Amino acid sequence: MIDLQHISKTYHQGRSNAVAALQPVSLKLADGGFTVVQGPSGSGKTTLLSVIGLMCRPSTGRIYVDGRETTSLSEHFAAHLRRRTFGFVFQNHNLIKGRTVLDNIMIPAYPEGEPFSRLRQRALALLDRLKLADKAGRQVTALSGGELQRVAMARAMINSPSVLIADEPTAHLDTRLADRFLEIAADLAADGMTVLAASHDPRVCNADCVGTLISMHDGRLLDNKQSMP
Amino acid sequence: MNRNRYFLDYTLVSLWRRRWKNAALIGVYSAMVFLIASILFFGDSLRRDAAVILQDTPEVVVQRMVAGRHALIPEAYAAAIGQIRGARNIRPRLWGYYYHPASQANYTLMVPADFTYADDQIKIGHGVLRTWAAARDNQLFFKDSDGQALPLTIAETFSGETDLVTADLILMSAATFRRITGTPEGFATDLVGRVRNQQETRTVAAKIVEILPDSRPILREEILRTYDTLFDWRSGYVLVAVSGAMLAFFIFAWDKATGLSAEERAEIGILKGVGWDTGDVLRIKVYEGMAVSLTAFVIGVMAAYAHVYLASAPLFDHALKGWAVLYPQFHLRPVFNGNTLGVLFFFTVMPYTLVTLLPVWRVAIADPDAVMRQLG
Amino acid sequence: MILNPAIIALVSNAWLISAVTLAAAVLGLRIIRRWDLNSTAGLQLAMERQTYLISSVLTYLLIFELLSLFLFAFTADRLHSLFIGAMCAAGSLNVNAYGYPALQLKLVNCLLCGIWLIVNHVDQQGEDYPLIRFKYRFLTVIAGLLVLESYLLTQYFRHMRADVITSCCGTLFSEDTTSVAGVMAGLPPYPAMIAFYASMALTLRTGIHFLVTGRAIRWFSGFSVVSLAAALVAIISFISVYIYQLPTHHCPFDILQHEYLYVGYPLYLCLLTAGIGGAGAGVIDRFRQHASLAAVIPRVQKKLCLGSLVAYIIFLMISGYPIVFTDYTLSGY
Ligand SMILES: Nc1ncnc2c1ncn2[C@@H]1O[C@H](COP(=O)(O)OP(=O)(O)OP(=O)(O)O)[C@@H](O)[C@H]1O
Ligand SMILES: [Mg+2]
Repeated sequence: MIDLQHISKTYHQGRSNAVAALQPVSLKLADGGFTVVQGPSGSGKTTLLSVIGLMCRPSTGRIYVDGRETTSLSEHFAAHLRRRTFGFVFQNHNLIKGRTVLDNIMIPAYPEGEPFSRLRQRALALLDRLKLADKAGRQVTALSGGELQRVAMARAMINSPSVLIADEPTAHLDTRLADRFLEIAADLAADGMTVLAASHDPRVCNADCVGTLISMHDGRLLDNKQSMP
Repeated sequence: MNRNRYFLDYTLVSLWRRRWKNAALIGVYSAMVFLIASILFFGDSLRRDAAVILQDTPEVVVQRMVAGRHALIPEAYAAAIGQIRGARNIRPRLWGYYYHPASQANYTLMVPADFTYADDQIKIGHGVLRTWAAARDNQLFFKDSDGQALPLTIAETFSGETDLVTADLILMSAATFRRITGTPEGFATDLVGRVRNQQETRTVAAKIVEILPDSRPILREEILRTYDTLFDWRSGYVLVAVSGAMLAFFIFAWDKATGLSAEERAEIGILKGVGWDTGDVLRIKVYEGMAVSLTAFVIGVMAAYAHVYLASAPLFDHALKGWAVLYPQFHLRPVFNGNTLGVLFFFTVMPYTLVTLLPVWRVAIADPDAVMRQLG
Repeated sequence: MILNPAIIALVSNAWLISAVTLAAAVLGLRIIRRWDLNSTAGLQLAMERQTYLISSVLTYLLIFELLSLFLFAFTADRLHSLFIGAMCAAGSLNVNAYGYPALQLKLVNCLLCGIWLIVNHVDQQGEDYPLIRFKYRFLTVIAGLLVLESYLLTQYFRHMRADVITSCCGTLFSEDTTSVAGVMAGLPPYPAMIAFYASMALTLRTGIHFLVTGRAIRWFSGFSVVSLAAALVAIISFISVYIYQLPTHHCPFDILQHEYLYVGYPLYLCLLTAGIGGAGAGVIDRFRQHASLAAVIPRVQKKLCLGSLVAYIIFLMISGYPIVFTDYTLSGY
């Protein structure tokens, strides 16, 4: 359960080039389900996701993750909580070049320091689940777009987070691959994971598996449409 | 700790991936360690060698001064000094230099206390044998003080490795020495002696000057001290002189560290994005720096060791050349002490660590959310 | 001034450390005044990031400070050949009025730096920077002391003249001298022994008590500091005598020399570790009631206490070896 209370975000606050990317927003996200944030470019979707995902501190307001106040955590502990709670899939995948698929997947778990054999097993299981088992030893530069995204998803799930955050996940994918993504996301949501995606791709917004659709405009939330899967 | 193992592993992969850049850095770095280490090792050796040589010198040497210059000393002085309480074994010593025009070299003549060969026989060092221009039939031709030729037979040569000390040495009997150098009977080059109690050397020296005002006592501990200061001062001075090179290196290192490539910055952004905190990123970068530092340190120290002790410091040749033409086989004996390594560490690893930390930190504090807007 | 590589290293190192620490303390002053974790202003963010830089830079520097203590002892020891009458570091430190103060201050600074690193470590375990103000106030004090230390060190080497006649351990640490060192050397060894072993026993006792019950950490901390002092006195008073096997030789520096297998280094290293651990455990005890540290502090204290006990035990074993296993006895007392 994620509870946002009067969250606003202004970049470069107090300076002449200040940008109010989020107007005060209040929002509750229940556990489980597939939620999509939609809105035109520049409406603040990415900003909202990064505030929710503890990537940056909001300018005002408070965020409670499972009842725990998070805005006054030190960076170290915010990172710790973030690793355990959220998995991220970025628009450009952002995998680390020069390392193998397996390494890339395990990297978010390094600061947790669990035994290597367990971590490796978990990573291999994830690859298996995403049908990438034969690519484990490959360099990431030698993968196709769809494979890259699945690697990015495996990386997001390595710490078994309860929330998966994806920003424009289908931007670079053709229809078949976009459907594949939606399939996996629906699968995860069915397993009880909260999936939160930002997109202006109609293939995603109008997909059947999407539980909640949040619309944004100019840093504000518009009315929410509920659709039953 | 598992965490550290992961970070270390990550570091090693990064280092390997940018191996050419790192190899260049390590190359320059170890060259600097090599330079400083060579200077320090060289100083250590010289100091040690001086100490070894001086170990055999007597505790007091008494010279006579005439007109401010070292002059021959009457052997009768020995008896006078022998009266002083605490002074022991005072005996006259005969030694001097002999210039041989044909080989254009200066040799050291000495009369040992227990010379067992005949008057026309000598014992010489390897350097003499090598350089004496016209050695024939085991005979060396000298000229005595009246200009008469004087052939002397080589009875023995010094064995092996004490090259530095004995290279130019020629030992002979007192009578022959007096003939060659023209030192009159009843006079000696100087007097040497021992002092019963180490604490009393200064008092003994003071008494010698008191009863023999024209004499100048020289104490071994004073010579040792002078050498020590001299070598310390030398290497300290040289270090200050090479500080320019050090500065250049640290600027270079700073530049390398600041000039993190776009790819490295992107990588750090991703790490922050997937849940590493600033401390974790700093840690892998510091490990990288330490790996570079230690590798360069080890390479530099080993190279300096080889340079100074195995190759006899060819880079410092010119500094040695002045000593004598006789020492082409000048060989430095290995001295290894922790202090030198400690000093070296403080001169190289520590500033490097500090210099690279700041630019790395500047990148490590990247916002985690920057990755959301980062182009793949 | 004697220009020797070790001296250049020590002096430049000292000034580098104090300059950087001073800079950190200046940033720290701003943190003390303006810190507000609930603020989202750029300043707060910038300060939070600076704390990362400061703590990693200082971790290194303070480690270098500890190393330089040993380099200093080693260098002072090696320089003894320059001074008439000096046989070891005791003599070279005595060539002018700055030597001993510099060494003592360095020792104190090493202790304080160690404690600071412990406080810093604990602070990083709390989610809301619980000790941030205390930490930086403490740092200001350390910065001041480090500057003073650099000054003393520089003065010591600057006023060092070869050929100065100095008195060495033979007179400094002799029973007939009326200085503090002389008094320590002149302490009758059996009472000194009893005091030393009693304080060690109390330290071990309270330490084990803490490990078992989780109580009495302040007693342990207090006793471990007392033990540190008692151990230093004991080295001068009788441990050194047993190591040298000479009834009148009380020098605390000769044990650093090659002839005695450098036994002084492990001895002093153990003492320093034990003292820092014990004192650190006591210092952080004040913050037990902080909500975010309630679980952290006992855990850290356990580790510190254990480390300190182990170090003291090693010290006892090394220093006890010649007392138990050699034929030498303190005759004449
Ligand atoms: N680091 C930043 N500094 C200043 N302004 C920023 C920054 N990041 C975003 N903005 C501004 O904040 C506003 C919201 O940006 P945001 O990226 O959240 O929009 P978005 O809905 O994700 O857009 P898109 O669909 O194009 O990704 C935009 O006007 C953008 O210019
Ligand atoms: Mg966006």
